[in-house]
Amino acid sequence: MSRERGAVLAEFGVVIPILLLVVFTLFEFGRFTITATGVSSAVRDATRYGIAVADGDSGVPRYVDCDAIRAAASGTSLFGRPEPADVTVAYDHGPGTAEFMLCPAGTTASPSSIATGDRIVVRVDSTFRSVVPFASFFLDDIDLSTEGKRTIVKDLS
Amino acid sequence: MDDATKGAQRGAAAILVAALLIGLMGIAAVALDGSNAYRTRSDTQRAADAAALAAAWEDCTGTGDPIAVGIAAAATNGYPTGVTVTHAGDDWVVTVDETIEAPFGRAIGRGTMSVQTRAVARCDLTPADQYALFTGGTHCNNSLSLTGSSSEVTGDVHSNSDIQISGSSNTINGNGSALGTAPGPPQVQWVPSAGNPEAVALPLEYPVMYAAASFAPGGTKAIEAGSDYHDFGAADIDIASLTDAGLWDPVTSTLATGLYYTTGSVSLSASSVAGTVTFVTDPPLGTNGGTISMSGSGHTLTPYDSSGLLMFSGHQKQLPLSHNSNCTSDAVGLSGSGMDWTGIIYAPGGRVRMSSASNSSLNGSIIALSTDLSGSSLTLVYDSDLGEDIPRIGLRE
Repeated sequence: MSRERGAVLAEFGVVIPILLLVVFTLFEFGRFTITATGVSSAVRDATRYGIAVADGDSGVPRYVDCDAIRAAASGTSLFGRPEPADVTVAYDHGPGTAEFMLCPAGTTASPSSIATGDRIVVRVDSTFRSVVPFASFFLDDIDLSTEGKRTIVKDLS
Repeated sequence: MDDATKGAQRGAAAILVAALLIGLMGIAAVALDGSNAYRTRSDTQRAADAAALAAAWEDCTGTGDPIAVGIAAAATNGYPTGVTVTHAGDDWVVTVDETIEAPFGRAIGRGTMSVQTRAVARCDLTPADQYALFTGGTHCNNSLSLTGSSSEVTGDVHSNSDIQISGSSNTINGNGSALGTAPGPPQVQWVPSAGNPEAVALPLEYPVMYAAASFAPGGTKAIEAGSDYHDFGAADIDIASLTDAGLWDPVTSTLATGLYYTTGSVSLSASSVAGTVTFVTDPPLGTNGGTISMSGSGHTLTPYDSSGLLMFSGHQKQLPLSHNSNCTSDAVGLSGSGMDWTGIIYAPGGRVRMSSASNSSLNGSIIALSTDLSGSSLTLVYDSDLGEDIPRIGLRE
């Protein structure tokens, strides 16, 4: 009887590491996927918010409301959303042009320096770091930074 | 351990697994059904956005029913049902309601979930041409030159280089802007005077752009004109050739209505010329061809083209466009007195020159590489009804 128990224990000892490896790898891949999709939908939602031709809750046009754009990126979703500090909001003059102005947190950009046809640029900095030691061999320090750009229409009558 | 206890333990495991399974199913319900709902929400949002923009665009530019177009756009994006498109004020409001199956949620008593999204879009029409006078040549000296006296311009004025105004008692009722210098009183009175004219840093795009090809035989404008299309081929258009073609009535000095096209030049030297016409010249570039000149007195011309185009000279003396002599080569030369023109005069490859055009008026715009308006008592009034409207759409919510 006690010999049998020992055999179960030995079996258990062999199976458990493999099982844990499988479970934690699944867990890490799941977390990776959530982070990646979270970053891309954060960018999409923030640009979508920013280009809507309307005033935000703070009474300024959405495209200059730096904090509200960040809030849209951090969003209401469950997991994988970036912190407002990881979100950069800027403007450019269209495809192939450099960014000419930033929209820093806590400020409102000046509408007079932005023209219809300029684009809002939202960039989310995100690096995936593994929390499971052995998974860090193949799934660590992966840059998931994503950028989205959409054209601004300043006003519609 | 005897066989009886072993059996009891086996049963306990089954109960444990069953209990855990309910918990696992709950987690699976949240994870799988929740992410499905989340994905559906972003899908329906995209479909709603597309439908709202499509409806707004159709409202502005199309002839169809915006509601049907919006519903079709939602269907193209995967949501043929549950879509409503309504018109509220100037806005087009689209809602997409989608009920999705939640197979795991059934375990916790919720077999379906409903996802609702909403998008609001609007379209407006802005006149493409906002200027009474626009000169686009960045390389020209004083591309916008007004050298007469007692002239009045009502409407906005822009030069991609300097504005030169000499003479006196000139008035510009509108906003001026220039990349270079622009004078103030006493040569010209700007109304309003505060902050006017304004210096701009970057050259502006031409406010209107016409393609000569659309006026050439077989082009869209040519086909639209139908029997009103008068193609002179490579021949010059003048009173003699118009008479030969039966398009000139010498008794009433009236031109036949329509769109006149030539790869040669246009020259009308007569008095009291009247007509509803559009002249387009489409000469080979880098030649002296394609000029439009009018002289005499008392002309009354109104545009035939639906966009308000009166004259389009394709004249460009030198290649490339940035060649200096293009700035002083007259693509359109207007002289005479008591002229009354309505429409847009467009010459992107050369100068529009109005010399000694005293007591003349143009209701419309001059859009050219450069201008030289030297007549006195010239009245130039911008007309917002001319020019094509640019539709602009955007999401609002």
